Amino acid sequence: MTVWHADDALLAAYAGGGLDQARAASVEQHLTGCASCRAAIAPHADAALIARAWAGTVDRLDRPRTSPFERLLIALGLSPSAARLATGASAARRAWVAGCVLVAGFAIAAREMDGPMALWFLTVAPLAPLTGVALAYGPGVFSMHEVVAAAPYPRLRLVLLRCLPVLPMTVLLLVVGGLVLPGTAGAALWLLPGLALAALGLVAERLVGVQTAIGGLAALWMGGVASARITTGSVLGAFSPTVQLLSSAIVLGAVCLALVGARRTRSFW
Amino acid sequence: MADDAALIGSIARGDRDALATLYSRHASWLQVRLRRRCVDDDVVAEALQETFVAAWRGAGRWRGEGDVGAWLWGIAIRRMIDLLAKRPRHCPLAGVPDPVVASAEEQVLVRVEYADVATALNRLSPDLVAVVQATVLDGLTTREAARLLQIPQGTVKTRMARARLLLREALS
Ligand SMILES: [Zn+2]
Repeated sequence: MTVWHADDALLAAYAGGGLDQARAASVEQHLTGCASCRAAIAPHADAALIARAWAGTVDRLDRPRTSPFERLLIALGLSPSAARLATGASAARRAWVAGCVLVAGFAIAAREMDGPMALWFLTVAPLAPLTGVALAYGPGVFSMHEVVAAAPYPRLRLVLLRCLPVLPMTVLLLVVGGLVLPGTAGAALWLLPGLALAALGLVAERLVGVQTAIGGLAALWMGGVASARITTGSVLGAFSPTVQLLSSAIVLGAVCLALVGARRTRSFW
Repeated sequence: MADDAALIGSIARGDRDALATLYSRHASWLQVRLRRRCVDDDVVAEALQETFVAAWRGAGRWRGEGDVGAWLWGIAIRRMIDLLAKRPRHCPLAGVPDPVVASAEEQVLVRVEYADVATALNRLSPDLVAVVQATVLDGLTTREAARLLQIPQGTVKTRMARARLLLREALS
């Protein structure tokens, strides 16, 4: 061990930036290995900055670690707090993701069987975006309710943020659908009705409450598929061009409404 | 009192108090040393914070080789380089100060056989000294030094070659 130690005047000169390069470098080499001089330099450090950095450190450690999807959103330009709101995982949301993966797995399994089995995928998949949207709401549905209630976000932006995780799952189902059904047109059949149901869910929630809106729309959809089966003899009747056209009109209308709403409340965005 | 290596072991097992102790021992000198390389206090504070967050998460990977202080400095300087790279504005390095009158410490500190090196080092231009400091004293790679000093890697290499030549001339 070194018997020599830097005295207070030398440490003060070093900390104050008043040493020439060679002696500053010597002090630094010594500090790296000498605990007693590291302790002795403390009075010359910036105590306020060090306290601030410690508070920041504790804050970072207390914060849950960011998920890959959250980091992706931040990389795409979302603020960290918005990304957290968008991805805040609750048990319900995890269950929903698991459900989507199950639907996808079911579709792959159905691929090996008869065509009618694959049609079940078409029936269930459009409900995935709708139920995902349902998770953007309510204390009973997700655990971040208190955080959201206190957050200074306008409601529309909040709901859209919470709907963001629906996107990757929609893409997953689209890709799996492409594997299951011949041709990309077949794979995308469920997409427009699915998005339309989600958009209707957003509107209906304001009128009748979230549970009724989601449950009602899901029941309506299943009823529609069943009646198409009875009247046309195939589940595919529920995905007819008329339904697709109607769905695109609903999605377009919802996008226009959202844009107008956004322009009106631009100061919040 | 537990030594630094024992503290790292406790931190790896999730002991928050051990992290607080490590911080109280090392934050001061790391702050001063970072501050000598970047005058922006916000960058220094963030680098300091990220260093101990990284130490908390990486304690389990520490192999117990070398000094904990050197390990922390290695993290700190690289975190600061990353932060500087993200800043659109240039963060100027702390200027090279005027040499103060040589004191009695110098004879001990810069030992006699290195006195010529010290004199030669101090005669180098600030640009060259910054490169020597980053590559030789801080142990950074050419790429890291280039990011810290915000100059191209080629410039780091040519300045280092020039510094080496000047030092060799001064010592021969
Ligand atoms: Zn010492």
